[in-house]
Formats: sequence, C-alpha cells, structure tokens
Amino acid sequence: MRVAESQRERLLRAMVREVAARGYESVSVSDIVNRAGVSRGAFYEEFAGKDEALFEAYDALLETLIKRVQGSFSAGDPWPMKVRLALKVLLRELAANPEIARLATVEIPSAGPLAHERYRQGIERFLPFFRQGRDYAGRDELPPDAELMAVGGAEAIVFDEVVAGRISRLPQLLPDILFTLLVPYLGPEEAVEQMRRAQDDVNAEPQP
Amino acid sequence: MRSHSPRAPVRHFWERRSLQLPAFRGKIGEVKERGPAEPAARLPSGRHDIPHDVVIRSQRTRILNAMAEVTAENGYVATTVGQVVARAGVSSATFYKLFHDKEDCFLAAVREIIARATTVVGEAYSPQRRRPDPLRDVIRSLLVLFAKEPAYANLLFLQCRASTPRALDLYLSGARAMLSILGSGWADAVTEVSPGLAARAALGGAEALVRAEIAEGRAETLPDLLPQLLYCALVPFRGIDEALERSLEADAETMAGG
Repeated sequence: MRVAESQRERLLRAMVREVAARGYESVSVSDIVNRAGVSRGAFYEEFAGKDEALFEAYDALLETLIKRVQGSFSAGDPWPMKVRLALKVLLRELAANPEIARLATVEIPSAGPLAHERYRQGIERFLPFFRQGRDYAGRDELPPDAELMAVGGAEAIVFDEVVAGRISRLPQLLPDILFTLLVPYLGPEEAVEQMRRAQDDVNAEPQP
Repeated sequence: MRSHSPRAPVRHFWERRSLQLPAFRGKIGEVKERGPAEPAARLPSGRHDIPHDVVIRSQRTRILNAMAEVTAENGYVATTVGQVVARAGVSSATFYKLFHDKEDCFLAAVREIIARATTVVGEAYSPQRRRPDPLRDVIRSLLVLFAKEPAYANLLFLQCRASTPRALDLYLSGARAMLSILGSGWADAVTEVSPGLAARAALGGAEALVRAEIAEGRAETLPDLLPQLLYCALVPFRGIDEALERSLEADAETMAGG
C-alpha cells in the first residue's frame, strides 16, 4: 500500500514538472513515466489517462493552497489583516514553487474545456474568504459578485506575471494585489492604507 | 481609518435582473451592429455575376463563424478543420486557400472579435461624440456585442486561454489595447495605487464576471452585468459611493429602457 501511494505521488510530481517545463499539450504519458521512473502499466493502474492525472495534481495543490489560506484566516485578526497574511503566504508559496505556480495559473486553464471548468471551480473556492468582507465593510448594498471581482482582478495580475516568467517577483506585488482584493469592499482610501502596511511587509523581507 | 458615509438605503437592484430581462433585450435588439462577422448567408453556387472578392469575403466570414461555433462547442483542441468546413458549408480546398491551418483560422477569428470590440470602444470614446458617461456606454456596447455573438465571446474569453501561445498573446494584446483606451476614462483617478496594475485588475475582475456568465451558458444575458461591471471599473478610482451611485443610475436607465 505504501509503495502504491508513493508511486502515485511520484507520477503526480513528474506530471507537474513535465507540464511546467513543456506545456500540457506537448507532454505525453511516456514523458511522465520516464521522468517518474515507473512503467507505463503502472501509470494506467493509477490513472485513466493524462487528463485524470492533471486534474488530480491540480486538486492536490489546490487543497494545499486552500489550507494555507485557511490557516491565516483562523486567527481573530480583523478581516483586511487576514487577507494580507493569507495573500502573503500564497504569493510566497507560488514564488517558491514555480512549477506549481505555472500549473495552477496557466496550464490548467489552457488544458481544454474540462480543465478550464475545473480551474474556474478552483478559483471559486477562494470566494468564501471574501464574503466576510461584506460584514467587515458593513455595507450590504455591495454588488452580488464583489467576491469574483476581487479574486478575478488578483488572478489577472498573477496570470500576467506567470506568463511573463516573473514568478519569483510575485511576493513583491503583495501591496498591489492586496489593494485589488480589498477595494471592492473598503474603497480606495482604506485599501491604500492596507497597501502601505503590506509594503512594510515587503520591505522587511530579504529581496530575492 | 474607516470613513464610510452614512449607509445608503439598501436597494437590491441586483436581484431584479432576470425579471426585467425581456424589456431590456428588446432594446438591445435595436442596436445596429456592422462588420464582417454578421451572419453570412450562403451565396448562390454555380454561374453567377457576384464579384469574386465578395464570394471570398462571404466564404471567409462563414468559415470564421463556423470556427467560433465549433470551438465554443468542443473546445479548441478537439476541434478539427473537417468540422469547421462542414459547419461553414465550404470545401477543404476553399479553407486551405484562405488559411494555412486550424490555428491560422482560429487566430483570424480571434482578431475579428478583437477588432469589433476595439471599434465599439473607439466609438464610445470618439472626440466627435462627447457623451456624459463614455465608460458606461463602452461597457454596455461591449456586453451587447458579446451577447449578440455568444460563440465569439466564448472564443475570446474561454478559448484564447485554452488554445495556443499565439492566441494567448493576441488575447493579452487585446487586453492591453483595451486598457490604453479605457485609461483615458481613468485619468482622473483618485488613488495613489500603481494605476497600471489597478486598471489591469479592474479589467481582470470584469473579465472574471463575463467569463463565468459565458461558461455557464448565459452569454445572451451579459448586458445584465452592466451595473456590476461599472462598479468594478469605478471603485478603485472613484470610491464606493460614486461607484454604487453610478451603477444604480445605469441600472435605472436600463430599467427605463434607455
């Protein structure tokens, strides 16, 4: 049982690396099994095909990212601070794992309609963290899709950076992305205030 | 640091959207749209007096429309040239006279919808036609365009990111063009935020809402997003109160059939 598990994990890791290096389209099952050092038969024991392996790899990394965010949200801090801490963790995580960042932001949405749908559902899992922003702001007339505006805006910035090959620079964008996430709820003045605190966080970090 | 104005009365205009839809759609239907992506009727085959370039243009348009429809149904990767020519009612030979391959044709379809969107934006910001709220007009016109062309909307918002690197480049350059035009509407921004990123984020947020509607098969009701998209575009630069006020105005105007 342990052997089977580690084989599965090896295949998923190989999948993430191959996809990040060459793009999902051009990766074959052979590439994955070669990189993982297992047989083709072993791959098909674990997965029905390439898509299933990709989805599983994505689900696993999404789970990890969501857990990290939940960690920052469990404390009793005010909502904007929770968002700042969670975002900081998330950006650092992506910068430290460029292969995962690529898979999660560029490869999944571009791997066909099913994968794109999966990606959209993945993004939606971050929305509940923002519903708390309505209570914090104390304004119930905010647009119904404010959550999607916030997360979609942040996603666009991250997507552009990853496509441009600037994954390692993501943590430095903490202030701008934080502004984007907070502004639908707090307005620009207060979002800028929070942005300044985030800038202090960035300045305190050693530059890459 | 919390400085919100006293609460405005709660106006749940968001919840009315599906109820009021038919009246709104009647108005949309009256908007005149031009351009080669109009549904292209088949020209008569055999001997006729139709000029050669008209025939070519009609075939090209039919092929582009077919490409948009087939990729919207199957996704880019699963789409074949065979399916496209069958849908367009042209021969493979005709297809390859006009396009190198599937990607070439796909990119032409993407350019087509980007060109139409750019025209719409340019008209709203044209100096000859000063409008009271060009930002609102431009968002409305774009939503009307995408609602009229659901297959092209799908192509632009879903397929471009899910197809080839060149399509992604086109998409990103389209977004940049959009930002440079919209930037004039944001020139009097009230924030000290890096305006490029704030504008990119506002566009990204709007895209996310549009993409969700299209992915859930509701492209026809995209114009209902106008008040929300206006809020999304305004809030980083003008603040919550003005963004809410102007989106309520847009909503009221929509309800009144303006």
